[in-house]
Amino acid sequence: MSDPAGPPVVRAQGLTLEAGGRTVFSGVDLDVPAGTTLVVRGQASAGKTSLLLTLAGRMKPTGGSLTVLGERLPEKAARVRRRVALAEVRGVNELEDALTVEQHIAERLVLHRPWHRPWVSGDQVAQQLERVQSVLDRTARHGVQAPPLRPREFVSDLQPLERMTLGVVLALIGRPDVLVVDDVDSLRRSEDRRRAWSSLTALQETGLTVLASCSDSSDIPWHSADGRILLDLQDEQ
Amino acid sequence: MKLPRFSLPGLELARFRRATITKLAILAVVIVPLIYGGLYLWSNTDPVGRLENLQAVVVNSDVPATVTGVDGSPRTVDAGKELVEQLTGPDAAAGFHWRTATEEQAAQGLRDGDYAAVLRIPSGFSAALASTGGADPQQAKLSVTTDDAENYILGQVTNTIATTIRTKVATGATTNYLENVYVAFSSIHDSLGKAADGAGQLADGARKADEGAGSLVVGLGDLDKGAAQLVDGTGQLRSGSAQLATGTAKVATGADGAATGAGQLATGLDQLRTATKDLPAQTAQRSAGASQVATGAGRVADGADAVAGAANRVLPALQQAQQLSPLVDQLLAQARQLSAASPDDANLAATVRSLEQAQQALADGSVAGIGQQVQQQVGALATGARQLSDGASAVSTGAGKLAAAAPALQQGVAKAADGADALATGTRQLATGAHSTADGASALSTGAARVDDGATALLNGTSKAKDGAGQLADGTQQLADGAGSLQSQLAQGQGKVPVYTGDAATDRAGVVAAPVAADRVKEHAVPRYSDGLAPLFVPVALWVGGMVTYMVLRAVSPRALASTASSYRAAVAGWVPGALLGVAQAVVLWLVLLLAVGIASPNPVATVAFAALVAVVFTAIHQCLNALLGGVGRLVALVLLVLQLTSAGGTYPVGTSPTFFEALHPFLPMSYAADGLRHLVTGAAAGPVLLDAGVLAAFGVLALSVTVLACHRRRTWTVAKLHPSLTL
Repeated sequence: MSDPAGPPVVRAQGLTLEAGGRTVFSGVDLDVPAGTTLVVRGQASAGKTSLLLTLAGRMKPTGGSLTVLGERLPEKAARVRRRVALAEVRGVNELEDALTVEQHIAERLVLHRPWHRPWVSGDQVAQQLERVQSVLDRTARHGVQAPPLRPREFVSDLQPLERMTLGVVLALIGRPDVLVVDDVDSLRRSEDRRRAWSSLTALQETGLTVLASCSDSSDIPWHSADGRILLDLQDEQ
Repeated sequence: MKLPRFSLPGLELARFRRATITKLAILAVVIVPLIYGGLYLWSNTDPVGRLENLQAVVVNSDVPATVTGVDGSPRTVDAGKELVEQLTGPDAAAGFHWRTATEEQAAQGLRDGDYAAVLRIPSGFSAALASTGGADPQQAKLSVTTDDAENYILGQVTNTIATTIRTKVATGATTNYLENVYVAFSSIHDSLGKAADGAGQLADGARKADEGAGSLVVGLGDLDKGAAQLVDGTGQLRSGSAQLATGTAKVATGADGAATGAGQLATGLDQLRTATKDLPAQTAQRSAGASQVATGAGRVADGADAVAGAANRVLPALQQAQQLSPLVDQLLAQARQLSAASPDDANLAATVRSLEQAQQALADGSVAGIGQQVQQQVGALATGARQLSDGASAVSTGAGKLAAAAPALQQGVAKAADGADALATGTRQLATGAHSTADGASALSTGAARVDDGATALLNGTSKAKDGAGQLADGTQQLADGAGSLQSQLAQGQGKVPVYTGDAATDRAGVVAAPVAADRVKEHAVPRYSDGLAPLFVPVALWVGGMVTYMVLRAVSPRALASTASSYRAAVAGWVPGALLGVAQAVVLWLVLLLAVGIASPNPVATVAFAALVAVVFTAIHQCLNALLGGVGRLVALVLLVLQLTSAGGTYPVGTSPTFFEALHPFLPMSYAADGLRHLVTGAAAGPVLLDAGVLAAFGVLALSVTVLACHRRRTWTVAKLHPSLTL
């Protein structure tokens, strides 16, 4: 459950990333409490993905200070990586078009098993699917009808929202403390974008901290109690 | 029940299950090593064994030669023809497929590439070969021509074939020659045996000679004594014969006398015969007269007695002989009368003569001495008268008988005369013979002298012979000893000279002619070229297979890297699918090699298992290179492939390579893969294989460890990776 009084999950001061002679982002100050959603907003190529990867311990900042989950980065990046999960990020961990939903889930399950038990049974996959369905049911109670996952569906055949949902579900299999969802408004339909945001908000109830990005936040159903923090990234010119 | 339905390799490979083309891609990955290794090894199955598919020609210009064989009989050597028959015969086994051709055809065919090689047999080939057993051996030469412009390797192979042919021919020729030598050994052996036998006979003979010489010494001693006796004898003979000569000379003289006497006797007897012609008649008369004489003689006797008496009485008177003279005269008168009456009575005549002497004596005054004589004479007279009387009586008687015998006497005289004639003749002959005898005896004497001289010389000679025989006996003793030694030495010598005949001589000749055996012994020999290549080309193929595998598979799944799972899980997740494909590659490759290409291995299961290990290790290395270096890793893998091909020692031993490759050899995994497979394919000891497997496993663990580190590193993205400017 969320504990707004607890230490912030993410604390950044003057966080800066420069690469190839250009500044990706600079002077980012953040204080993200647990159980909240950070929405990083910016133009394309404004450094949103790089900032999210930096916060997830998957990219090294070149300036400023950053503490995630009480661990200093980039020194303790490995610890941070185990607790911060990525939903599908383009260019980093795309889903495999030729695999089914079920196979993706099985793959992620196996990755979290010890090396000497390198496989999972169909039952275990089914149990995981049930857990996924229960999560989806929970979002539904918030009035957001997320599409159910059809286990035998190939990823290439999934609807964009279903694909994003699968990415989130896969990320959650490792039971992370922080979930990173990149480019939420890449969903073309505004209805999908709204459902996505609502679902992410619903996930906060499990104590999850969500780090998300978008270029247009107009579809976010804003409620004061939603516990969202908005960060605008300025496009470097 | 938790069925192992989903696994990372399966899920990795499941990406390719959706479409046919991606399924084919996986199949292609599996068979890439098969295409690479299988086809190569198939094409190289037995290149040398198929040399007989290549045409080669032999040009025979040889002229047969005549050579004298072991048994001394001439035989013809036609080595060129034999070689051609060997090469072109049904079981030639001489590399190429040989056939004969003319020089022009051969030259043209070699230029056109129709023939792989041309073997030329020169005209003096047989003569040169035949000369190896003679006084002036010549080297027989063959010439093999190939064209490197057609194929260099073929030239190398042909060199080997040429050497084989040359060795074969040379060995055959030398064998013939040495065979003669060994048979000659046997002749020497036999001759020594005969010499030893002869020496034995010589020793026996010498012993007998020695015995004979001993006997000779004894005999010569006897001979010497005999010669001495002979000399004595011949001395006697000499004197005897000299006496004989003297004697016979006298005999001859005597015989002459005898002959003269006999002649006179004959004459006398002839006269006697004549004289006695009337004897019977006279004797008859005489007989009558004799009777009268006898009567008268009786009277004479009486008278004589009276005289004697008178004389005795007279005798003293004789002292006065003068006084007696008349009486003597009287007596003489009376005696003369009586003698006249009996002129044939010798006594009377003698008496008369005595009386006359006495008268004479009386007359010359010596009667004094005569008295004695007279007495004696008168006594004798009386005795004589008595004897006369007796004699007369006997005469008378005898005359009677004489008269009776006179005819016989006459006849006897006649016969005597005849005999005397014969006697005279005989004695003359005797005289002649005696002369001859005397001559002969003289000659005999001369001869006997020579004999004696000879016997003396003989004696000297026998003495010397005796001395010489002693020396001879010593010498024959030494000869016998020496001959015995000679025999034993010859027998020893014969024992030391070996006997080689027939097959033994042939075998030895073969051995000496080719002291280095032509047999090539190969440990763990592989039957064919491909079997020898497989230990290198299977790892090469699996290396290439590993490269291809990670061209299709991702070394590490990006989802795994981005996930919250640990890095080693991500590394293993990327390796296991590749490893499974590698095992599939190894198994498929080896099954085809074993079953289709026909590469043999005494332990196929271990071979396949080792190859699978090689594949698993190689995929780990390729995954490592890809995970560490990305696309550049494939380039590195390609460079490593070339380095390993050159330094693994898969074909030639790595020691034959330059030092660079030799130094690199122990640090590259393919060295151990090739080594292990070579031991497995050839069936050598398991120890090196296990060692190789251990080293390979270490390479695999190292590669995986590096992959884990690479994964750890790759979990941090950069802006460049996020927006790559170059995609490999």
